[in-house]
Formats: sequence, C-alpha cells, structure tokens
Amino acid sequence: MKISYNWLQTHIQEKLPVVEELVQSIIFHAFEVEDIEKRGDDTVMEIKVLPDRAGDCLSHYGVAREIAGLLNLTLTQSSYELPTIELALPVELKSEVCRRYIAIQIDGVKVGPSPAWLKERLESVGQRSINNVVDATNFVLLDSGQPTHAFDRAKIDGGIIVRPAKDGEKIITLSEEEKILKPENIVIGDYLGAIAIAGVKGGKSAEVSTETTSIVLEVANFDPASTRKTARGLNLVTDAAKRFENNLAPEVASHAAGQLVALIKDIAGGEVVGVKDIYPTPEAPRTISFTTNDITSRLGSTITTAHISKVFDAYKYEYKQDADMFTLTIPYYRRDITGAHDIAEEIGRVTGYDTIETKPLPFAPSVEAHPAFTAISAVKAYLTAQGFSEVMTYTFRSKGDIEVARGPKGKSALRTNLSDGLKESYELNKQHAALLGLQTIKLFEIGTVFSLKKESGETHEELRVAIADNGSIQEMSLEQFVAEHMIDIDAPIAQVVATAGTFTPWSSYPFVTRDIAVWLASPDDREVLEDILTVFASEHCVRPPTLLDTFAKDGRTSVAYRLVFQSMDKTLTNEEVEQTFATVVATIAAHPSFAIR
Amino acid sequence: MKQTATLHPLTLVTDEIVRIFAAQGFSVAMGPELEDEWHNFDALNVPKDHPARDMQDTFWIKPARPHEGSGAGGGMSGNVMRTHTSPVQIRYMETHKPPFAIIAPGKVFRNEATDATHEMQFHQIEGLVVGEGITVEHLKGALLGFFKELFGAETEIRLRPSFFPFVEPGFEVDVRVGERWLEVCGAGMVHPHVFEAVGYDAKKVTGFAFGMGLDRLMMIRFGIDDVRLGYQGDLRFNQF
Repeated sequence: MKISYNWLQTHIQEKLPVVEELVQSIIFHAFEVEDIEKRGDDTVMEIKVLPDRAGDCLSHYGVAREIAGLLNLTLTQSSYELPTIELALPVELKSEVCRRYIAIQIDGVKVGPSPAWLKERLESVGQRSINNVVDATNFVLLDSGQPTHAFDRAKIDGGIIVRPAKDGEKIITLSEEEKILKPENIVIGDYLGAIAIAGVKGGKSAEVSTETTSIVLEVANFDPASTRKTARGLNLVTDAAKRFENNLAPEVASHAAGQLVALIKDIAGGEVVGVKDIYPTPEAPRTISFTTNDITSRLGSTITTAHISKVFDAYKYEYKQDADMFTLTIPYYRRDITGAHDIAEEIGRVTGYDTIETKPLPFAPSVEAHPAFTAISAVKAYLTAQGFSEVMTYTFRSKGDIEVARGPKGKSALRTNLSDGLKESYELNKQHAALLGLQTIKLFEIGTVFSLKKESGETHEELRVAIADNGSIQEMSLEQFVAEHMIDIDAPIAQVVATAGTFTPWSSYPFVTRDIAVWLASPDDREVLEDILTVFASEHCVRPPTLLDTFAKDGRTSVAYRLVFQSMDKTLTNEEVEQTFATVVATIAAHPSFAIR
Repeated sequence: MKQTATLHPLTLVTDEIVRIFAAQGFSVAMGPELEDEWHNFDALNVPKDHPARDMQDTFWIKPARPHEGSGAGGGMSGNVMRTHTSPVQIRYMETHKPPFAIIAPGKVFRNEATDATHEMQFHQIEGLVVGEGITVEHLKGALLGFFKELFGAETEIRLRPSFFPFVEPGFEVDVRVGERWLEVCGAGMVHPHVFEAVGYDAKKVTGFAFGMGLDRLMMIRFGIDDVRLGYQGDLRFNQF
C-alpha cells in the first residue's frame, strides 16, 4: 500500500525519524518497503503489508500505530461521537455475511470540489479527487482502513436491505459496468433493486451527484471469505474488497463513522438527521496466557521476560504479569493473534532477529540415504561416464492421460513418457551438433511421468530414465534401469565439481560452418596449426575449432578442422563468412609447413 | 563448452546443496509431484479460501471422470501439481518421529505467466528440522553454515519478518554475496497447526523449516539470466 510520510506524521505526536531511518525500521521489524518516491515535500513509501497484518495495517493509521509501537512513539488521539438520533430510513440485515452495518443520514450537504489539503492527500497516494463527499469516503478508507460508501438519499426507494442477490439480478456499478449476480453475492438493496455490491463496489443508481443534498453513509463490515469470492467472481478487485477480505475488525466501523461524519460536515456542510448501528454479535475481547518459556522455546534464550513486557508497553497493550506468566488482552484490531507462536513473532521481530544467537543443531542427526535420490545420482554418474549428457524438458505436453485445468495453451496434459520430449531435444541438439562440437548426440533425462489406472481412475506417477543414443531412444523405470545396467547405488559417487566461469548466452541467428583440411610437413606441426586456428576462432568463431579427422598417407599427415561462424546480432551472409574464412586459409596456405588439401 | 558428457546446471547446484546439508546431518526426503489438496494446502495451514488455492496460481488436476470433482478448485479432483516442496514435510512427519533433519529437493508447478525469472515448472529445496528445544538460533546456525559453504566464508545472513501460513514466526532470509544482499530463502518456525495435522505434540516439539528456489540459486551461481533456457532440452545450457 502507498503510505505518505507526511500523512503518517499526522498520527504521531513526536517528529518521525527521517525517511531512510524509518524505512530501515519498517523493513527489519515489520514489512517490506518496495519503493520510495519523493513527491514535493512528501515521500511516498510502497509498503508491502504482510498477509497476516492486512487486517490492521492497510491504512495510514494502522501503519502509524505499528510504527508508534516499534519506535516507542505516541499516537495522536482523536475521538468522535455520533449523535443518538434514530434514523427514520428502515435498515434490515438479511445475511450473516454482514457483520455490522452503520447507516447515517446527513441532510443539507453541498456537493462540490474538495479543499486543497484533501486533494493533495489523495493525490499523494495516487488517487483522483472526485467531489468532497466521495473524497471524504476515500480518505477515511486510506486513513482508518474502513471502507465506507455514500448513497444519494433521494435515490434510495423505501429503505435498505442487506441480502443475497437474486439469481441473475443485474447491477450497473459506479464505473458503469453491468454485473450479473448470483445468490452467493450479497447486495445492498433498496425496495426496487440492488444499489451496491456489499463490500465491493457501489451502484450507479444511487450515486452521489452535484444535485445531491441528502446522503446516507454506509459504514459496514462484511465476512472475508464471502467478499473475496464475490470480488474475484465478478472480477472487481477494489480497495474496499481488499480490506474486508483481510478480516477487518468490525470495531473499526464506529470510530471511522465518527471520523467520516466530522469530515463531511466540515467540507460539505449539513446536519446528521439519523443514525442506525446494527451489530448483531459484538465480539468480546479475547485474552491469551503464556509464559516466557513459550517464547524462548521458539526464539532462544536471548529473549527475556523484560523484553516481552517492554514490547507490550511500547505497543500500549493491556496485560497482566505474574513473574514470567503473562495474560494479554488481544487488541480488537489484532485478529491474527491466536496463540503463543504469534506472540513469539511479535517479540522476535520488534526486538530484532539480529539479536538472536547463532547455534549448531542441539542433536547429531544420522544421515540416511534416500533410495530414489541415491539411484538418480548413481544413474546420472553412470550415464555421464558413458558419454551421455543430461537435459530437462517440460512436464506439460499436448497429450496425456491426466489434464490440468487452465493449463498452458495446447499443453495442459501431464507427460506419460520422457521419450517424446527427449526426441525433440535430440532433433534440436542434432541441428546444433557443429555448435556443440559433437559428432554424436547422446542424451538422457530422468524425470517423473504420469498415468491413469484404467480400473480405479487413480493417478499414478513414476520416475523414469530415458536415453537417446544418436536417435535411438530407450525408456524404462528408474528401478528397471538400475537393475538392467547392474548399477550399484550404494557405491560412492565421485563429486562432480562445476567448472568455473559465467554462463554465455547463445545467439538466436543461424550458424555457418567451414571445414579446412591440411597436409602437415611433420606431425609436430599440428600444434602450430591448432594455435593458428584457435587464435582465429577466438576472434571470429563461436567455439574453438573441432578436429574432424586425421590420417597419415605416404609419410604425410592430414588433419581436418571445423570452424563455426555465428553472429549475436544478425544472420551472417555467405560472402561475409567466406571473406573471413579466406583470411585464415591464406595464412595457413602461406605457411611453409602446411599445404591445403 | 565442455566436450565431454555434461550434467544440467540444476543437477550441479542441487547436488552441491544436498552435499553441504548432508555434512550437517540432513537426510534427503522426496514426495510426489502430483499431490492431494490435504498435503499441499490443508496440513500446511493454508486456509480454505487462501488466494494461493486459486486456479490463477495452482494447476488443479481435472477429474478422471467428469462430475466427480469435489476439490476446492471448483469441480476439480482435489489433486494439484504441487505448488511447493513443503508437502514433503507433511509426508515425512506422517511416517517419522522427531528428532530429525531433512532436505527435500524437487520439481514444483505454478500457474503463472512466464518470463526470464518465472517458469511454470521450477525446482525448490525444502528443509525441516524438528526436535525438542529447536529455536530460531538453530535455524540461523544451519542456514549460515550452509550459505558460507555455498557462497564463501565471508557470507552473512540476515532475517526479516515475513509470512507463510505454515510457519510462525516467518522470515525472509537475505544473504550477502560480495557487496549485494540477495533475497533467496523463506523460513520460519513450524506452525503448531502443522504439527497438529501430523499428530505431533506441539507443546513438546518445535522445529524450523526453510525453502529456496533452486533455479534462482542456479542463476546466481552461474550468472544465468533467463530461467526458461533450462527446460528446452538444449545442450547449449550445459556449460559447466
């Protein structure tokens, strides 16, 4: 989420540390900061709030509260009271997906442009200003994490009902898209039809416009799983849905409602004429008891009882302590905390994982050989000793017994053999034989194949070995391969050490080969010739020269080499290759020890 | 380019990693690539409605016979191509008693758009140590020891807060190689729900788990900049 440094500052009494320091604290004690952008006299941080904290930290206030605890700073207190005037408009909940619904009617508002400070706040985090009423709802969402919505009172027919949608019921959203609903989608309806998709998006029919003078504000809370299903199903991933999906606490609604009303009265005028707060099952505060040992058994002995109480004090958490026994009242907004393991994470990250010692394992495990892994290693060693090189191909193929849903296009089946992939690999490498400096292509792959048992319909997977020896392909199970080749899987395997160096990408343009055969005056001249060719190849070719053949006749020795030409940036023409090749031919021809054959 | 028979760079990296961990007492464990929902998600404390279970991220297996589907994938078989090597943790714990230390290398699958650093098939290596008195201290010890062997004696590690459903606390482990800090490993203390799923007494034993992308380590080790080149069956990839 985009978090503005200046906006954060409004929630903290002391001066915040400079951006760089603040970011370091956040990264090592709370969340990742993915980007930092300077914006005039403000700085905007892209904070990747962790999924378990998205319920309380997808807002400026939430992040400020976390930072205040982390750095032992003081939160700016603000409290709002809603008037206790009964709302005349009927409001009814007909779905348990709605955990709380606050409706507030304000009459006499003047819809118009927002003040400069509000526009600036919204723009700083990449939001567009629409009008004062809509901007106020967006501001409250980004500030408190509570999604809210404003309806035009004049466009609500009869009253509000939160209910499952009828099958096939239609709604036009604020962004003017028509959505067709199912009963699994919950809607906010009036007596005529749906006016919003609950927790996801408002509808066009009750949209606030410049003519609006009376509004109904919705400050509600919806079930995470249901909201997520609806948002995903309708392809409407909105800021509001994101908050509800992450199990926003219903408690947040009352404070946010007060904040929203105060803001609207301030920038759009009007008077509250009615309030209704339907909250069927308010949650009692939860407590959790644990000992220091529950924490040190996870984090190690560097953490002490004093560390624990220090963290709780800094975060202003309510707790009782009796020696090393703690009872913590879990704050309503920390719905992610369920056990001592969660407390360990709080204490660990706030104290800093760098303070934890580094120790060897407290027991000496005995290493047991894994039969399949050992067999794979033994077969790889056996095959490379026989001159076979290893390749890896894709598990997904166009045909197979088992298919995956929404798989890669045209390749949504699981391979039933390795041979088909290895055949393609063989053809590919055969074309590149000159490039690879190989005269015969010998390949293998070890991998898993998948089949379906005919009778039971059960899936079955098996480790296989396939080898391609110059075009002839053999495949069998790993077990069978080990047995047939009498491979001793318990024999120690020589450690293959990777050669040093860095990967060289290859060209996607065609290569061209030129062969040169030379009579040597004496066999000792071969080294001289190889030097000339190697130096030439290092400058003009993609690989060192490959020896093709050598023979002796009438006391003279003939050697033949292949040179491979290829450009990284274009297709070489015959003329270009010929011209370059001619220079080395000329050099060799001019040498007294060589005669071109 | 080597003239003789060559191994795939991923094999070279995997074998090197397995050897380093074996020297620390870790045994190899393996598991199926086609997994059931229980081992891939439920037992690992991944909630039923977790985004990771979406078809956008997971390859769900179509049922053998139509209309038999029951899985969370919506009419799917309840089986998936495993999205991580973590289900091997569950399979190992179901059949073994602590204390133990294992590593599980293997192929995994994600339904995502491919680019130079993302493939729909790739490889991970999972580590799991369970016993009485296992703490973050031992996690730091095991990983620091490993990375020093892999990248050199000067290597440092640091832990940052992170989140994975099957651990708590969870960490991102950064490794300093030369002047750069690289994010290469997710880790954490095994979540009590995971122990409960396999019938361990979460009050008696603790443990740590970690996971690394083998393809990413291969790319760092050999300076490879496009992971997709590795699965074309192309021998030009075997440069080491």
